[in-house]
Amino acid sequence: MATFGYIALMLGVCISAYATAASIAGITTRNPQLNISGRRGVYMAALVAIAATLALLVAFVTNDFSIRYVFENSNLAMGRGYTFVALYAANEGSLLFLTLALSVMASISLYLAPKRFADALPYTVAILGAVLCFFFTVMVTLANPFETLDLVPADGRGINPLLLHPGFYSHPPMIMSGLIGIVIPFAFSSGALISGQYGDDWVDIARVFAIVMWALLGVGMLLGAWWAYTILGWGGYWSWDPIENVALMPWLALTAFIHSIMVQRRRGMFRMWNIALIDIAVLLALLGVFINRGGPVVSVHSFAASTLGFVFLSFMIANFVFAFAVFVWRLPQLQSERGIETFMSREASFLVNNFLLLLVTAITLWGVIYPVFSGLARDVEVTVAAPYFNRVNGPVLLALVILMGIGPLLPWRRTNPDSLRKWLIAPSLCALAVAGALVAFGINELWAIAGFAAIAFAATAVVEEWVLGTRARIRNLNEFPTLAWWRLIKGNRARHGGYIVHLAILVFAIGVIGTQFFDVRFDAAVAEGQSLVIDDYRIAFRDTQTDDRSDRLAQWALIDVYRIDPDSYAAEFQQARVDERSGFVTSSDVRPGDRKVGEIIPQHEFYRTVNQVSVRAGILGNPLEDLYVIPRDFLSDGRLSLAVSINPLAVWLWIAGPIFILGTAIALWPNPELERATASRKKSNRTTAHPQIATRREFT
Amino acid sequence: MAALLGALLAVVVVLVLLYPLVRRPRREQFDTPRPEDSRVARQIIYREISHLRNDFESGHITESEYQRQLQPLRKAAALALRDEDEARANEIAIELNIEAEVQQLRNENSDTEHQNS
Repeated sequence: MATFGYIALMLGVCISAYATAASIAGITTRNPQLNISGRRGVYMAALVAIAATLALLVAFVTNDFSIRYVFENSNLAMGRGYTFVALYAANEGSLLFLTLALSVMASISLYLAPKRFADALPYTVAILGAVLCFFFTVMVTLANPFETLDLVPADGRGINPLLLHPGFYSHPPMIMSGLIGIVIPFAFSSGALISGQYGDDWVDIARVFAIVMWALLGVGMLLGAWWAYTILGWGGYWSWDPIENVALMPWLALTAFIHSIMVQRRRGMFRMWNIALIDIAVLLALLGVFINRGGPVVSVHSFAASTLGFVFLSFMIANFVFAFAVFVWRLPQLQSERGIETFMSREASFLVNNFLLLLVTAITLWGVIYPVFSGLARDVEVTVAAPYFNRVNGPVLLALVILMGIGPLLPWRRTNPDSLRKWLIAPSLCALAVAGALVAFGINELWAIAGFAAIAFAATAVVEEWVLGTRARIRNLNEFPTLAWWRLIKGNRARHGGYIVHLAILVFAIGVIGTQFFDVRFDAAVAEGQSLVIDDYRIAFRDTQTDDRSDRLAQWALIDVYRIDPDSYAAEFQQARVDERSGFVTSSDVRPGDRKVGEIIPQHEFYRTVNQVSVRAGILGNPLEDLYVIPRDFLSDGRLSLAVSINPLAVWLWIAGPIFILGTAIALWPNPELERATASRKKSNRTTAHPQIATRREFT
Repeated sequence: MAALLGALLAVVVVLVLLYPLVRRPRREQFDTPRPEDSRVARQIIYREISHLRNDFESGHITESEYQRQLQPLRKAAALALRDEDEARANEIAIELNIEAEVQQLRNENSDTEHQNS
């Protein structure tokens, strides 16, 4: 398999270089046959990438430890399910996966490219071929996943135990595909610019692929957060780690792009700005690839052993120079047809939205690269941690949530101020009602109150938009209310799918505010027969179970969870308040008001081969809060060291995921009437490829 | 075995890449406008009109603003409809020409056969 895989990679280098060369030759010699051959080069690059991936997959499944990469990332004790995905567990395999994802998605995009884009397509093919050639070449020369060992070991070293989680099946491939896939809209926009197609021909296909990559990154980050929450054992879901940030930054730039591209589609404006945004997004994505592979910033996610940093830094700089040169070259032709008429319009709200999103991106980027600058300037590497990001980004994100409420209410071009005031009444009243209710319940966190009020404001604006539209349909078309609402959504999928995504973001924001402002934590060691009390929960440590396997020592704690009547524990609570503790340890005797609500089994695994611990939190959740129990350690005296927290509203973080996917799917769902028209046009083109022959056959 | 598989893959790739260069080039398609192109353009304009009407009916824009934005869209839709009709008429004319040409060829063939017999 190693030989076949390496041959496939070598073929990949040649084919992708050929795709670029044939496309350039086709452009310069005006030979369309060369252009077709070049385009086929990208399809064939996808074929050899699939072949190489299958070869590595077979090597993993058959435990072929003669291949170094398989030896380092697998062993006989590893579950069969993980052998199918272990290929992207480390640097070389993840490079192969990146190449596979890019080549397959690039092939799909070229196949779907509209006919009117035909003149610019060879430039797009040349760019995609060049990027693919880079990745194939890196694998062939510097990071060969098929490198063989002289002696074949009997067993492998095994995978990083933190990766043994269901999230491993989805989070890494989604993030990698989303990051590298941004090259596709970039290739279409750059191809259009170089070819001199300054119009909007690239917009539709680039928008679709930008939304797909944006959705992949968004869902990937959410799955990563869930993974961190359940396994990593530090009690959180987002730590502003550099690698988390380098996935977030392109996502933010793409968010700005998919908003402002609507202005170009609808009003022919922001042409220059949209090109700049997609350039920024692709450079941030390549920054992510660079940091992940030996970049200067330390992260728990990065491939520490990789020495490819310089190569990827050079690639990123080359892309920056290319994008900047094309942008400056075509700048005079990118002027918009018209400008913003008034700042009380939807296009102006998109501009503000773009500014805020890029501000968050810039703040985050500064936090990521500041340690490097501080190291160079003062010889002291300063770590920028979560408090910086939360404090600086928090107010900007709050402004974005408020804008999410105002934007949908503004029509294109101009707004009647009286109408706007009228539409703002319901959202403002809802926001005030929520703020008042929170104050009445004794909540005094100002930022949290502002956050919940902003969420209420934005959600009410979306609902108001739907109510107004539905009522208009009922009034004019006499439709049944649910049918009228559904047809309203169907009538403008891009807009209403976007509103559903807004709701998903608001639901996520509920979880963020709940967990950031109102969590309660308490750490303690408990013996069997003892309980840990926090808030109105009693966590009774019942028993320990151990499983000593060949590669790991696994231990589980059996814990009963009770809801308690705090009055029965009044004395202990009084003492805890005096000691400034949020909980206490007591006996497991059942007291009046105690009610068993569940059982949790937090897990602690020590992997001998890699000398690493993997922790799985025990979580008992409901819509209001999660009881979150991390087994820090099983102590030698039989006690269990626990870190317990109450995470209010945490479940809403995960509920946001399906809503986000639903909204994105609706926004991307094709318009059937247009599809029918386009399909009949394609059919017509096919049947009339030899028009005279076709019509002769018909008439004779 | 692996090298053989690799060689087979290489051969497939080379054939696929070279085929467009060695086959007879496709004849250029007629560059005349097709009714389907205009139909797509018309559908896009109708969609824009529908969005505009939703904005108006839900109270987001005043009637005067609605009328102001509607006029150019109506004009564009009418132009697209006219283009579609012209393209369709053009297609019919081409088909009639070809039919006449085929009929002429048939007549010539039957004359030749008649003379031969």
